[in-house]
Amino acid sequence: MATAPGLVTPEAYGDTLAREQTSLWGDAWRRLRRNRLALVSTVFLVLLILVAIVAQFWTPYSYFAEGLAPVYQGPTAQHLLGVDDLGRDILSRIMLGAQVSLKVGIGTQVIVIAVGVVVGLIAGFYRGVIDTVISTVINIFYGIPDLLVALILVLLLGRSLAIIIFAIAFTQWMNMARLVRGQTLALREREFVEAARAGGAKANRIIFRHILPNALGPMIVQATIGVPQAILFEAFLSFLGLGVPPPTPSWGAMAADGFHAIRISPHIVLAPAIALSLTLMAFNFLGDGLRDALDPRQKR
Amino acid sequence: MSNRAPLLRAEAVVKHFPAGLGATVKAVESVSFEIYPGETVGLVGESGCGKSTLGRLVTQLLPVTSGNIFFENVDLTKLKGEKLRQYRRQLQMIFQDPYSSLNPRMTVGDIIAEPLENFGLLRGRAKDQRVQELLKIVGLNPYFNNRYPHEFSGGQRQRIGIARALALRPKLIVADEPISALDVSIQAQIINLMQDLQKEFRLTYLFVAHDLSVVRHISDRVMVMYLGKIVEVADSVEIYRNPRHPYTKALLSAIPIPDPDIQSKRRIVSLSGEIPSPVNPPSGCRFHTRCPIAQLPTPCADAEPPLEEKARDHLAACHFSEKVPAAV
Amino acid sequence: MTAPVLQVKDLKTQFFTDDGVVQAVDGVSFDLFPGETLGIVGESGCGKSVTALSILRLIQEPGRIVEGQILFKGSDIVTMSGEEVRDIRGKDIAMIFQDPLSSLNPVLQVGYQIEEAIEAHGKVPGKEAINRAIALLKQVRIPSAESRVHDYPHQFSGGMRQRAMIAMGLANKPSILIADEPTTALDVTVQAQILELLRDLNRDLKTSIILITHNMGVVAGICTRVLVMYAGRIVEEGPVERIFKNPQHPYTWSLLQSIPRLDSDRHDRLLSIEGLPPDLIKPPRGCRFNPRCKFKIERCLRDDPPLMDVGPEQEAACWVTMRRALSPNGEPHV
Repeated sequence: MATAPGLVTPEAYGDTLAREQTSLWGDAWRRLRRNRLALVSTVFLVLLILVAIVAQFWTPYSYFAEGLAPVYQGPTAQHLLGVDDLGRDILSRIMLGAQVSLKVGIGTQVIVIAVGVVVGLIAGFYRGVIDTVISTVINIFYGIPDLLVALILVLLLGRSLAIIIFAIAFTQWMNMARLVRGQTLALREREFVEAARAGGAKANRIIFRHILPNALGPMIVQATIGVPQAILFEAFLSFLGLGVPPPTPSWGAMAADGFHAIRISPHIVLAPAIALSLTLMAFNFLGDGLRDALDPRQKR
Repeated sequence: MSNRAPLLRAEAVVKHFPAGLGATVKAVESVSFEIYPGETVGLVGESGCGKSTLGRLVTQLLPVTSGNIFFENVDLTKLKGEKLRQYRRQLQMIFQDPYSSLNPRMTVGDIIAEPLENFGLLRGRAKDQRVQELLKIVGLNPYFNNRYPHEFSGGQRQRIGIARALALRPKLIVADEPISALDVSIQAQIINLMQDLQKEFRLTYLFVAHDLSVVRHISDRVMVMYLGKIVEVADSVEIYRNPRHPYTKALLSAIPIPDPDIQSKRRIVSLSGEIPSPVNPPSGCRFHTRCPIAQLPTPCADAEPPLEEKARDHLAACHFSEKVPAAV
Repeated sequence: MTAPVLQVKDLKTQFFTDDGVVQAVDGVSFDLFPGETLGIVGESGCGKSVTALSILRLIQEPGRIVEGQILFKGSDIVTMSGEEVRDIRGKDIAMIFQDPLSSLNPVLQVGYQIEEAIEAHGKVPGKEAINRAIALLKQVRIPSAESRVHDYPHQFSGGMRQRAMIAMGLANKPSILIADEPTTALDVTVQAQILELLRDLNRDLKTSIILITHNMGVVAGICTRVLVMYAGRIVEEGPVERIFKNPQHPYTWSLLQSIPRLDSDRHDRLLSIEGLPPDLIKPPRGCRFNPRCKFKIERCLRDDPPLMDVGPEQEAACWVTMRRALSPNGEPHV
């Protein structure tokens, strides 16, 4: 390779890097690690996932076996969280309830990401008529009351976990779509996208190589915050008696079951309520922590 | 110079942007010029003059509103889609902001290789070798290809941008304010690099900038723009010694020279008023509202002066260019 | 010898970040005399803006003034109470910034903001405040001041906004005006007008001006004395003619050689300063400029040079100095 006279040798400029090698994700990870609340929440969620996995193979007692102890009995050595109105072990049901909540939480977000991201990218990138149409559809969906839609879908299509996940995602995808659309609109104006076009990049490449990776941060945050929203929605549906059919334990249904006895045996409502609250808080703190950690404006 | 065929020829190029409520921003208004192979043409002007827009029109990153841009006699404005994309191999661009012109989520190697991938030119080993070669050419350590842009300084990032522009071995490079965002001591490095690369690879540059000192230094010919029009074209020595448009003269007098003796003796040509809005440019000669030698209302406010030859290879758009005295 | 109006002694301002302690200003001392225009010139990261902000105690977390004195009218700004500093800001020492668009409140009329600046330091009856605002706008050469005083910032052009900022700065007749890159964001023709304005105001009002910039041409235009900063230190200071005609520090000399000049014949290559700006967390041993210096000797790698006399009223922090580095015809030995 010929070097013209006067071309600088690499040693003069290139050998020192301005900063030590850290990736953007590494930076974010370090910031996240310093957020105690997010850290604790992550630990909690990891434990929760472990519990859900374990529950698949083992629970202290069968979740549907009734009459294991005198009904309404509070926490004892044999039943750490007590038994419910049918004598079922609450701890076992809480463990399985974790499965339901996590399946709903994560399942809905998978659909939300699949649909919302694609729709948002297309609307934001192509703009014009396509964007107008998509935005109108999004706004129509926003206009539909969530509970009504979910109720109708569940009543029409049946009370299975899959239907519930679908119904909840149905009411949530627009948030992701709007977020991604906004990100795309902003990112497509950035100079590196212009530079990619100048280098001959085609639309696909620009969308998937340039826009999507730079929109990941807010997307992850949105999904993380979407999980507790979905879990709460499901709990609410279950509380109304429209969630997964018994005897599958859902925390919301468990709370509904124990509601009538709240004065005499509060543990029946408290156990699932506290589990639900802790889980929601954990996801929210984690989501907040991720948002701060991934904020591109923070240079450190 | 006028004997060879031009590499690029712009004819009556117009660019209007919608500005809401029916108004339009007349960013570039019937601009014509030529760029010859191997030369550096400087395009200079203050904010709002349309120079950045014109740079993007040349590379067709923006479509023209009307007019033609001929590259080696092919009209780029008539090409669409894939045919236009193929021409990008010959017309590359260097961008202003080293901090936002590189995708923060891609490695430097990927950024430089992308144009090669876009056209399927090289793959695998050959591609990696070319990337390393390009890094060396711009004075960076070739083993840095796995690093990310944020690990580099502004000057180094600009070198990466230059390497990317060179990847396809283009004939013409439009450099849009390539050094404005850099520290003074680094600017000289990049200017020298660009000049060396031009000699080595027989490049042609359109160098867009607001700093006339830099533009003069690196350019063979200089074009001065004001409010969407080219008001003067001349070679870089002549334009300083003998400006023939009052705006050029005012611009030259305003640029500070790092020499206290000279600065204290210079007389600044004061321009009255402010730069008019490109939504509503003045009638006739666009400069007449601020011109110290304008004769109103005729001809300056009602007849637009054509850009024509006032001396050999020296064009100016002024009714009274002979009145513009030589530079102080 | 008149007494200085401001004395900065051994100022050290540091930023405590996760990466380490950034020594942004590391032992800066200078005097400002009444009526002079002092230029502080340097590139990004050299500490010039931080120095200016330190003078008015405007440094915020994670930054802090860790050492030094800033003497103004007999008191030390560094150790003053918050209230005493607030009293000085805008009244005795005023500051204007680079981007007038973000320094002006977009929802308040310009005249109102000037009145605010006036009333921050004493009640003034309404009519008088407006009149003073109008007078100030006239002083900074804004045409049609009487009607302009009711306009909003977005109705002003960039140059006019900067003039409005200068008007606000001068509202209380300060003895010192600090201008931090006041023309960097402006077009060159507008820049020339603003600099001319500053020069005239300095002459007519006798306000001392500290002008911070990276543009050597701007310095040559209106400054009487110059401080050249690099890596948080002053590396050279002196009267503007000497600094430009006879720079003694290799950094100053190289900087002047690397700038393309409008009045020069075109050369083929500019002299460029190799390397990268210094790391302020772990500065190089010895002279901070040594990694990039073409003229260094062995001592430069070990000992950090202090500012030393190199001519009448001129000081440079260099063991070699250009006098010894250049042969009689002005060409570098190295």
